[in-house]
Amino acid sequence: MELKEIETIESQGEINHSKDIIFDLLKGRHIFQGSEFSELKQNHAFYEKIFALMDLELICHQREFYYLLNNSASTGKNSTSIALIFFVLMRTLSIVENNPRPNLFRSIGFEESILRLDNLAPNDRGILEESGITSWADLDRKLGLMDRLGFINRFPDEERFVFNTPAYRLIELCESYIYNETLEVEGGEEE
Amino acid sequence: MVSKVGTYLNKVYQALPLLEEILETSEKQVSRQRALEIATRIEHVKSTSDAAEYIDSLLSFSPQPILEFSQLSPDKILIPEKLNSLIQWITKRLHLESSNQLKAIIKDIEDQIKIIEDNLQGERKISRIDKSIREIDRSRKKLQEIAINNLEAIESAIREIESSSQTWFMRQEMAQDIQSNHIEPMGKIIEVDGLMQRTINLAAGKLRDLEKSTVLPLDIIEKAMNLRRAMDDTVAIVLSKHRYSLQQVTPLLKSLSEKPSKTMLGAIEALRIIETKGRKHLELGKRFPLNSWKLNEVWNDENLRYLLSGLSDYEPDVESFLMPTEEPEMISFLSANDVKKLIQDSDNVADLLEFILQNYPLHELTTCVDVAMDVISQNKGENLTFGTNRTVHKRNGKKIEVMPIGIKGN
Repeated sequence: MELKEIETIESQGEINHSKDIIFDLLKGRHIFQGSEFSELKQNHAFYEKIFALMDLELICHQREFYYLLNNSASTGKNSTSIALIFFVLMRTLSIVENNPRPNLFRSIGFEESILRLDNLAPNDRGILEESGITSWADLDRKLGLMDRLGFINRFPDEERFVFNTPAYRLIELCESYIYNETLEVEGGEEE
Repeated sequence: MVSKVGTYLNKVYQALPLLEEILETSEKQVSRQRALEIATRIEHVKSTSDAAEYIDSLLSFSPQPILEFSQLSPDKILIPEKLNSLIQWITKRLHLESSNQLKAIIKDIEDQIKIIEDNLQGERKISRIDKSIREIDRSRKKLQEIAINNLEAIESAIREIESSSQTWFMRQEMAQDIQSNHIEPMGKIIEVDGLMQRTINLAAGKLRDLEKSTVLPLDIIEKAMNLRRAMDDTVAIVLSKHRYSLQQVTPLLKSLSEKPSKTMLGAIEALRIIETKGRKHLELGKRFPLNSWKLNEVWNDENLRYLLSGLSDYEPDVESFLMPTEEPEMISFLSANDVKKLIQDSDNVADLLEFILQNYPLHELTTCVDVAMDVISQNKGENLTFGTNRTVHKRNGKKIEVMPIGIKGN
């Protein structure tokens, strides 16, 4: 039997939260703070190898958060609904706050009511409804999901939420469409 | 005649909820379906068939229709222009006048000045001069009216922009439209040294000529004087209204002039892709993958075996952890007698401990020290010699610092 090059898994620091870290990441969560984050940061190579055993890639984002990816990209319902909510939120902020450059990481956060279907412009409401978000209960569930995955922190008593660093994935997603448009324009000129 | 107007206005009054809703839309028109929906809010319209009948009655109302189909988009319903203007006028939703209208009025004043000039020098038709004074006064009133109406229209447009559900980009466009298509061209005409001021100065000069005339009737001279004063007032009103309009729109433009963030531009672009090409074109699975996994789905025995095989060959890099490679060497017991025999075969020994260490290289330092002490204690004082400098002896990581003690040979 041909043996692969011998590899060993060594930790660089204390391993005290491996169960939480492994299960949280497998649930699709982003780890960006607390003892789990410190342990991951200190033992990045160790956890990277653990997840490689499962054919999963541990991503360390330059904004200092971790999440898992695998090679087979699937169009999960969650990615669609979360992305659409974010796009609609941005367009709504440009209307409600009359601000083309909202600070997404402001400490005061955002009122959840801004996303209530009744308060949205008809085209934005239509986009969310088409993706299956037809009531506040649906939107509430999606905000709960965004909270669990680490994109936002909800404050239920105040009906507000703040964005966490993993929201940089959503910011980069938005920016990718500007680049896309540039390519399309350039392509058009060549033709 | 009166009954016709009454019937028409009554019908308009009844349809006001629908008409106002149409005026609220950005294009001032709605689809027939939307018109039917809004019609159900009107008191006696109970069902969809009632609504269809009601809309048809407005489309074909006599003497004038209250609704009509758009000529540009025949599936859309709008309010006829004259009725539209009436409602806009009553509700102060005034149109912004184009600067061309202002130019036309100023041109009229110029024409009348020319007529006055001709009649002052030539035939001196007093009735013609009188008519021109009245024409200039009418133009003056129009100028003033346009300035006041425009200001109200700008204020209303700003309120509309501020409360609009349009995106930031659309509102920026709307504000820029007011600024570049109305305020700026108006400003060029109105401001000091502009077309209006030059024409009014010219008119004032001609009116003064009239005032100085000794041949014109007094009432014409008085009219000329009154008109000149009224024109000064009009200029002041037009200028102040225009400046106020500028003040109104400038902060809005300033707030809308900030460049949007890349995130905002990207989000709006993503929504545009959804609206024009469909959601699939966002490629979210590729660009924003979000997945979750169950451990039993991703855990793999083969990979674990590979890991364990790696561990079985694992050699920790620990220097002190060295297993003995051969049998330890046997070291004989060292007694004081063995040492004494060696001394007897030698000359003087200057440093007994050094002597023992040299002759027994395998024995530990402590063993050598013990034996040296035994030998010294078994010798009489006169056989011993004492060194003057401290000497250090080392063996197997241990060391001792002592004064050398020697033994005289036989």
